[in-house]
Amino acid sequence: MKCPRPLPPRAFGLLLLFVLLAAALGLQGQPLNFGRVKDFMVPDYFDPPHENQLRSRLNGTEAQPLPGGRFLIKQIKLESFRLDGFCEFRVTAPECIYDHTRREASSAREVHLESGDGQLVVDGRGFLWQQTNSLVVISNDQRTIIRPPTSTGTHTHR
Amino acid sequence: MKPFFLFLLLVLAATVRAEEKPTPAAAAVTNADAAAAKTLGELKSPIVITSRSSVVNLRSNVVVYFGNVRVTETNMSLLCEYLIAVMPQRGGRIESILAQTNVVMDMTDEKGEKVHGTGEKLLYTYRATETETNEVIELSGNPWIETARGSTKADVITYDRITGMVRFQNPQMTIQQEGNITNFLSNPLLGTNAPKRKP
Repeated sequence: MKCPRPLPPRAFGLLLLFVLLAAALGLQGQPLNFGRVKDFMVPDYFDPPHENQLRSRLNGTEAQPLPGGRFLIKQIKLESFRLDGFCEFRVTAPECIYDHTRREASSAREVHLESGDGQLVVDGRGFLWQQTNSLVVISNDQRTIIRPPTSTGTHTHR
Repeated sequence: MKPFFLFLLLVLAATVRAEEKPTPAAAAVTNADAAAAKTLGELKSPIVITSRSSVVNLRSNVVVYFGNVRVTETNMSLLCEYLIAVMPQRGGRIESILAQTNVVMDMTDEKGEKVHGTGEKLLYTYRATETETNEVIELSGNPWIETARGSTKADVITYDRITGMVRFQNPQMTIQQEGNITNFLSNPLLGTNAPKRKP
């Protein structure tokens, strides 16, 4: 499983600014007229002294702002990293609603979760991801496959 | 009076032996547990866990399963209502599995013998350090295990995979006999040298 390289810090800043602005407008209950955004991304960093290292990253091919600081994100990919940069888990789903104020993503659609080494695979329908405590709740038809470890592990780094 | 004490001594000795040495039923459990431990610890084929819902902790590699949990593998199946699994990290082994509420376990050992077990709680743990390795399966909460040879109830049934030892706390074993007890006693070939009772 390959995890792409993160965007440079300047691009992060722009994206974060966009997210915060949209969230602020959404919280005030004003209509949003941003339209659709391509290549949406929400990064999350470790606490100091590792504030430059990614803890998780939520990507989407397209994001549509919704009222209340929320976004409808298409083709999402959520990645969780360790301090050493190892990609622990990758979660993919056709779409989700991301709530920036609560830092949560949820969907009623199918979801696929895979560990970085590919040994653990979880599929289900309907999920909730809580960014603050790194929990993924799969609400229906959960199915886990634990594969035998391979001698040639596919450890991936960001 | 003397024969009575001799009989009592024999019964006590038999009881102690039953606790220390595995009976045929216990031996069957040993083989089956070995198969289960092998399944859990050294994966040869995939384990599939289905349930109504689950919670995955991305940081700690702990997954909690809720509702109609079913674990299946080639030689083993496990049913329960609630299961916590500490998943392997980077190609390692499953560290622990805790299954709770209406635990039903079915497995087949290497000789093809089937073992059926029930209980309220099943705990599998694997710990490896530089000096020692522990790998234990513990069935508790009115645990009951049945094989073709008989069944065993106990307060707790523990299998240490490293030493191969099975421990039963307060065991109650039932050994299956071919035929019934009446047939056994009425067998004319069985008897003692005691004089026959006068009518």
